[in-house]
Amino acid sequence: MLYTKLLSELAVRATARDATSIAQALGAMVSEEVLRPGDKLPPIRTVAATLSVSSSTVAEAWSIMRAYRMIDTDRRRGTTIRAKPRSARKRYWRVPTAPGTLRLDLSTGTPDPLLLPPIEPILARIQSTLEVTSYLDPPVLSPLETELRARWPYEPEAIAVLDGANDCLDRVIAATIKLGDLVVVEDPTYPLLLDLLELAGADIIGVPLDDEGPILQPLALALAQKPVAMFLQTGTQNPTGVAFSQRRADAIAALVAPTKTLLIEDEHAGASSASDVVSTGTILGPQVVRIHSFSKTLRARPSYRSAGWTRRPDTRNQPTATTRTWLDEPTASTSPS
Amino acid sequence: MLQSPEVDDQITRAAEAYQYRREGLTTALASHGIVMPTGVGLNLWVPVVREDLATIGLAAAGIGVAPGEPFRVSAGDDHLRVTSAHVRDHFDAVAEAIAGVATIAGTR
Repeated sequence: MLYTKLLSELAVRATARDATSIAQALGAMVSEEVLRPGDKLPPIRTVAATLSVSSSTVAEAWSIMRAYRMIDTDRRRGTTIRAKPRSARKRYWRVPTAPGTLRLDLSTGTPDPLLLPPIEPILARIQSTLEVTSYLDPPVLSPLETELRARWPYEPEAIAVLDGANDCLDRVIAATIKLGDLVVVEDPTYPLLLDLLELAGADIIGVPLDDEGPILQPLALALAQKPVAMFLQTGTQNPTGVAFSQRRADAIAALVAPTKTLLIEDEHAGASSASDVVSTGTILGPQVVRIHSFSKTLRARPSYRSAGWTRRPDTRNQPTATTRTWLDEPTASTSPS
Repeated sequence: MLQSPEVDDQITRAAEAYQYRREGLTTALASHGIVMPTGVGLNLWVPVVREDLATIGLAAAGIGVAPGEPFRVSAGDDHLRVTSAHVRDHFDAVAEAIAGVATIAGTR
């Protein structure tokens, strides 16, 4: 795009003439494909003169764009629009091949519907008197909380019930991960986790696996870089089918304990899998957020699934502590008998 | 549901069925030359030469599988994620189909 055209567009769009407004105007031009990957931006002084703002304002706009990975700067080519960022959910939607069209679809990762317990007898027992009477009621019904605590592998500080493990991951990430934060995951791992982390702007380090879980040496090297968080499937690993061993979990807990890294345990398989219940919670206490999904054992259909999520705000007063607790699905899994 | 003994039994039976299907498919794959640990859970991570070609090859045979690429953080060997949980029987036929596409090399 010609500089003159770019500058006149920018002058029209960046009405507030501050760094945010300039960055937003450029961002809009990129998403509307008025600007394309590889297009060169004019020198900062030229932009500043055209918009009648200081060079430092334009430099600040450029640094916002850089933080959002929309531009690249190098000495040879100057500042250019970066190739399109990988869009959110892209990985997730690359997984199913052609749903519904194949004789045998083994791409889904879901439980066999024929092996799920029928829900009708349970729904029939639900008492109509079970009503939410106040928004200030405890967010988890107490019989449900008692059941969840009884099966939790350690004593959790708090329990929240959310709409599936994906929802839990989404909220933990929203509460803990900022642009540029370093995050450790297993490699390979669940595509949606990678999508959500990329969307949050995390720098992702993958740790390879052996037949007991993440390999300790690369995991220790990753921890040495002081990641904000580490997401591990402490149970059954998707996609590899590796069963995490408690011995490996203990060794990892020992490595994580002296750090400030938050460990998120994603137990998505629950009792659908032959893996043992494995947790670092008894050792790491407040450094652990454990997600336990019931969608593989009870229902995979989105309207019925629910998952428990415990959070223990860590010593740095992580924003997790202020994340709302929810009870989204009181009917399916909490009917008191 | 968490308090129902019948549901607990059903979940236990389902877990046994999933493990039986895994073992059935990994054993059948081994007899076709693809040797891998049995592992746990709903999915197998099957090594192949070219996951893109293998995925297409299996789709042509009416079998859907997921290519390994969306799961990887950094570059790595090609794999398919195969949800063994849905293979109720005919382990050998499914294994034969997978083995048949696992070695497709093409030119990259």
